[in-house]
Amino acid sequence: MKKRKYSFNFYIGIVIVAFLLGIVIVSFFYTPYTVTQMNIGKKFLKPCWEHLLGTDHFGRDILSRIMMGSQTAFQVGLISIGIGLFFGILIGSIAGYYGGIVDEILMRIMDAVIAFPGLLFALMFVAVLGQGIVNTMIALGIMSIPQFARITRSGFLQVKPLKYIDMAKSIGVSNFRIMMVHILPNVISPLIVACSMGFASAVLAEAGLSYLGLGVQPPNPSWGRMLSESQMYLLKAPTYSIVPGIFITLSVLGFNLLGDGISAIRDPRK
Amino acid sequence: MNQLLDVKDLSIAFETNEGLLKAVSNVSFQLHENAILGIVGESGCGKSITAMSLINLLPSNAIVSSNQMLFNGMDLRSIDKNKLYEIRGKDIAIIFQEPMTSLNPLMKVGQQITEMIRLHENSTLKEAKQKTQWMMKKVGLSNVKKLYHSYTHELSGGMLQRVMIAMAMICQPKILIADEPTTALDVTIQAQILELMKQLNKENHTSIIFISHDLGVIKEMCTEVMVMYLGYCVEKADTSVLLKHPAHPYTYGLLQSIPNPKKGKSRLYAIPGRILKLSERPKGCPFCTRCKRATEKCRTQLPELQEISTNHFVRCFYPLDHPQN
Amino acid sequence: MEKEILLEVKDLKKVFKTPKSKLFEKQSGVRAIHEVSFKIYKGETFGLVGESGCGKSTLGNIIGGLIPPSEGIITFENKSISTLDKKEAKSLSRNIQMIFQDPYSCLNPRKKIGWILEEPLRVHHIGTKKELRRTVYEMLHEVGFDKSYYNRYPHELSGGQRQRIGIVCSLMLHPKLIIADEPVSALDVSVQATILNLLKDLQEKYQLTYLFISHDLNVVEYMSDRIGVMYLGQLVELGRVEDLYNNPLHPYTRSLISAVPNVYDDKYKNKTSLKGEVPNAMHPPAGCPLCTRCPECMNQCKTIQPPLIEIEHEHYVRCHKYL
Repeated sequence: MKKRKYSFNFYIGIVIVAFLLGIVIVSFFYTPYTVTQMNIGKKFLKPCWEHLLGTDHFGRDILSRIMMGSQTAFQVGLISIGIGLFFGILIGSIAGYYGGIVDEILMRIMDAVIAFPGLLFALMFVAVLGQGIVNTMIALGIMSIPQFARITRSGFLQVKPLKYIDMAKSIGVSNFRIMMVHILPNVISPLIVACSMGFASAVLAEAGLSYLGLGVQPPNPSWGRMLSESQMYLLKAPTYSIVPGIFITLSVLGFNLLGDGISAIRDPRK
Repeated sequence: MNQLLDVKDLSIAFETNEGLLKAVSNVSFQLHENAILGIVGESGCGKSITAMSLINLLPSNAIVSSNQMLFNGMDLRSIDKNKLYEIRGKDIAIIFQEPMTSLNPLMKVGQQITEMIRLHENSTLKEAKQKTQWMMKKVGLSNVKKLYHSYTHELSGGMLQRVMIAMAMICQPKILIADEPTTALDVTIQAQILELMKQLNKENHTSIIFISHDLGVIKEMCTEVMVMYLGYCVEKADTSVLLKHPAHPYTYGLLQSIPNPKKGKSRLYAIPGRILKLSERPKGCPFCTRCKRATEKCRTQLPELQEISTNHFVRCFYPLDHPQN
Repeated sequence: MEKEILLEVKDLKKVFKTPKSKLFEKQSGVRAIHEVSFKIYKGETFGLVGESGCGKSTLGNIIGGLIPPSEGIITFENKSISTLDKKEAKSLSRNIQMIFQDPYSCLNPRKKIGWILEEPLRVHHIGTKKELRRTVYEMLHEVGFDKSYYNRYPHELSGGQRQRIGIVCSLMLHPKLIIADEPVSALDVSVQATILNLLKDLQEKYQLTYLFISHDLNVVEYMSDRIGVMYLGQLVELGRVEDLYNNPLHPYTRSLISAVPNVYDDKYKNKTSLKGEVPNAMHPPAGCPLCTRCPECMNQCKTIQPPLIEIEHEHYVRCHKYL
């Protein structure tokens, strides 16, 4: 293999994302305390050896809740991006490959989706179909479809007129195979970048929704929810609100840097 | 005949991330008044940049050095910027391969030619317009009044190339550099353009440096030819001599690899191997990796350009037989 | 001996619809191919020459099955192509393969050479993984590549090498007809000869039939047995190479041949160069397509379209002069 030059951003991004991923994995097997375990006598503890990040207004261990919250964040990110990616690629490739009236209709629908402000749409969706993490993920997923569809489509439009696609057709390759095997790999790098960035915004959106009380329902921990609960005690226990804030910032920063780094290196021709 | 241009030992290198990349080495040539000099070679042989270096149209990472670069007795190496701008277009004009991209799409074609006149001559707008239309007629464009106000996308490739030629010839330059002017055109249009250039050469006494990869076109146009390979001039002679008695194995191979109707359908001669990249230039003769006659000497030593008969130069230790020898 | 017909094209027409710029505008079209008929015999090379925009590549693409014709019949081995169902069409695509002009865009930059060459076989479900690999090795060897090329990417190859890979790729399914669309125009002269030789060798070895499309008359003459000359979507002359070059009948063919710069011709040729430019294909002349540029244009040329008639054995021309 040839040696590739990775950018500085890429390294920082990787370190942050790996750190967060580590937390997620560990949280499946071990948290210092049970997340829902209350202890009124120990509320608003400052960070100490027993509770590394202190406790909240019910005396629950913040570190444990952050760890469990990371699961929620990753779950929302992965699933909503998954939904967006799947339908985005499907719609984008059909629109880009067939063109004409099909393209026109599909892309106008996408425009309509984009026209809604993202968080507002999610709010509406959750308000109509009910609160909860599943509906949040679906809403965020739908909102990210147009972005992926557009990237896929523009990639398809670039690759489609090239001669190797004609060559594949003349060999007798089916349309579906041309789309998925011959064209898609050429479009994948901008998609990966978009995934990484989209993941960051999904985490942020989930935090926002939960902050408003519409996302993850109590007593399940979520970074956004912790932030909203903690704001009443901002002066009394600053660590309570600072810690989830830091984690939200970290994950957004990490994935954005990662996406940035990937876009710089994902090109075999360089 | 007067010498218009005298270039000696021209070398061009590019500064890249991987170090210095030598693109042209020790190329010397003279251009006489009223002559048409052909430079022929395959992609990457340095034929275009050799011509471009004359009026300093190379990218900024290029390093040009030469022992002499005289134009009309003026040293092109040491002239200042303003003088260079004056020479460009007025004394040395240039036409490119792609007429579509060489003209401004947002400006009327007539205006572009008129601007050329106004840049180099003191004339009123009216005079310049008249001169433009006269020149456009001269290069074979009809309905000139309407064409003057057209945009490039309204014209075909052949017409655009005529416009380019009109623009290049408007100030009656002493030298016209034509960089593959007909490669992007169809054969019947190519024939028209070549005819036009020959006619202009005769009438205006403009010398032409004609760059092409097509020996057929070179044969029709040029009085003298220089064959380039990997940045070296490998052979230089009068056109008829070069085509009839090529002395360098590369020239010979090039000629042989063109389908010949007289020889019928026998296999074509193909030069073995591939064209090297500039970064892979061998230490000895540039052609040694593809030459059948190459010896150890060829691989280690660079042959000098030697005169094997009058005005027939070749850079080879073992030139092919020449009837005059 | 009666020659066997491999492919026959009859009254082929193709009109490209131009996109409407206004909502209720009447849709106009560009006449790319107009009433083209010819036969290709088994084992021969049929050359198609013409200048840019004359429809020669469109014709190749139609026969190669990339775009459908507007009208007309194409028969391959006595079967009409347009009436085929999906399965038959797939087996037909095995028999007709294409080689393209630009060696830089004809190979997928994200795939290794081995993958690209295996793809035709995979699509047609031929052989196991091991067999595929072995076949690819054999074919690579055939055109002078060693096994290491199996794992290389296209960008590591030079233009000539890529074109050779393109040729191998079209050969993987052992087709009967190969449509070569300007296979050497993008290559340097010294590389051109290699590719032309290779094409000839392969033709002999696999008994291939070529439809050879090019704008370069020297190359077409060298490669072909019979040649069709196209102008503005029409076949204006058709004949065997010797007849066509020694006795060109159509004024267009004549000027085309005289316009080609030739290294080998010693005498200065009497040029019968055409004036003017190719007319816009959206508004072709009503009569003979060449009437706007033809030095011998007569009155009826401007209004009546001449038919394609046989002047001598196997030599057809579409011109009023010979009626």
